[in-house]
Amino acid sequence: MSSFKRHAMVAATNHDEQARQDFVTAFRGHLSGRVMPGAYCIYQKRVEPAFVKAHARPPADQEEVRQWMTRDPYYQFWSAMQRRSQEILWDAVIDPTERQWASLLARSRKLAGKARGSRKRGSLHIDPQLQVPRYHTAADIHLQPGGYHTDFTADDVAAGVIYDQGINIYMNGALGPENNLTGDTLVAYLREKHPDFKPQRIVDMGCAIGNSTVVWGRAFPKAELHGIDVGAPVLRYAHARAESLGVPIHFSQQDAEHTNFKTGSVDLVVSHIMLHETSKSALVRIMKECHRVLRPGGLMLHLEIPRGRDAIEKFMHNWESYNNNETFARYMTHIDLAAEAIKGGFAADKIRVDEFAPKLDVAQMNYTEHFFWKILAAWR
Amino acid sequence: MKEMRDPPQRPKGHRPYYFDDPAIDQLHSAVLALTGELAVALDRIDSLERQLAARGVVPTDAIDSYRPDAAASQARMQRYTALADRILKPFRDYRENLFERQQHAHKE
Repeated sequence: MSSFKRHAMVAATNHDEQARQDFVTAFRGHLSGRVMPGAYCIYQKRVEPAFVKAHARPPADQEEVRQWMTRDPYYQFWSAMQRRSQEILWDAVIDPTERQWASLLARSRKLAGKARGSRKRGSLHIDPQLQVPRYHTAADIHLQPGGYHTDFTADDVAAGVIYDQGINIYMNGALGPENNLTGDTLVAYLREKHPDFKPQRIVDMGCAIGNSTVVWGRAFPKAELHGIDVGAPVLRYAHARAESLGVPIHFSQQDAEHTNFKTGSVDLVVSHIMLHETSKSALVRIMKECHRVLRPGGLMLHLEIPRGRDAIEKFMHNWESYNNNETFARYMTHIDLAAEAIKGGFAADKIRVDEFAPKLDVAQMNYTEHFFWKILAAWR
Repeated sequence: MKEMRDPPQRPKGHRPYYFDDPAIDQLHSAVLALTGELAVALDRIDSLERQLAARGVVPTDAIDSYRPDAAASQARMQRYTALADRILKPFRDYRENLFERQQHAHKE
């Protein structure tokens, strides 16, 4: 049923585990394709007219929409189902991971061991002293118990195993067999806008399991490629996964707000749907850090999710923020990414914010039928 | 950290409820989980039927055309009743508890 690629670090499923994953995939597809559009319908037919009757004007912003929509029984039903489906999604992935935990750990150690001592392979550097930012520790992002960062045993990889399979189900397979959609999108953007740009040294910030990092490695096989993240278990997994896929990447546990890359040493800095999982103050510090590590003529590319065009779309997009522990995402609605890049030191005439619409099925769009990525691009 | 410690069963962070009464949310949650388990059970039956058909043990149409005899029907009816009884127990408990309290109040 799923096109998800069974590489060496995937937790195999038995009959019933697979059935649970298939069920939650299909159910979320049903919610996205058949139930979610009804929320727009009831807004147009019931909620907005009631608001207009009471205030003699339409809702001014998403907050006014929120006050009225959250009282509507259809919205309440969809939300209850959407929330529960997310919890069930993790359960369905966690079960086979726990069952095979020991063998997954052994496999990751074996793959990491093969990489060590080989110049053609990647590497892994874990920093036990690294302070995981509060925007990760305060609440588990996407409801994944333990988030990206919690080790439940020595050299743990479980968070990565769970995340890789989980996000594939989350978007009903739209992320591609190697969860490659976000990486593909940004590589395609670079190739279209700047076909002559050939980066020698690339840093992928907030790389998690390295799903997008692998895409960059395949697109620029001669470049020196780094993936950084604050989560240790996802990085260990990313390393083992990349080794099993044969893509050499140097993973290190680092905070994108302050890395150890030398000033002016990087050609290309990228991130994929990371910025909305940080914080207001972190966002500026990340921009400053990108500016610092890039060489003159270097490029920064951040891929972000859409935040909606009108009040109802903005409200729907922020469902994740209020209900799926993407706590900071709601503030992104009002944040001007170009202005943030300027605060980080980039010149206003070197910054672009573009929109890019991938081809997705209606059952793969959780909160709107008008989906487009937002890309922040800036030259150093 | 040598030991494996059990991962948490719930994510850290506030759990929103959508209906005025959280019990309604809990009911929706239980129904969805139950539907998932039903899907698993149906898949298992489907796998079983296909395996049996593939091995020539029970042809697929044998199940569709099967009609229980009187004894089997009787046993099924008893199972339905027992199942309904188990499923509706919380409602029965609630009603009986209410009735007992009313009787108690009446006596006083």
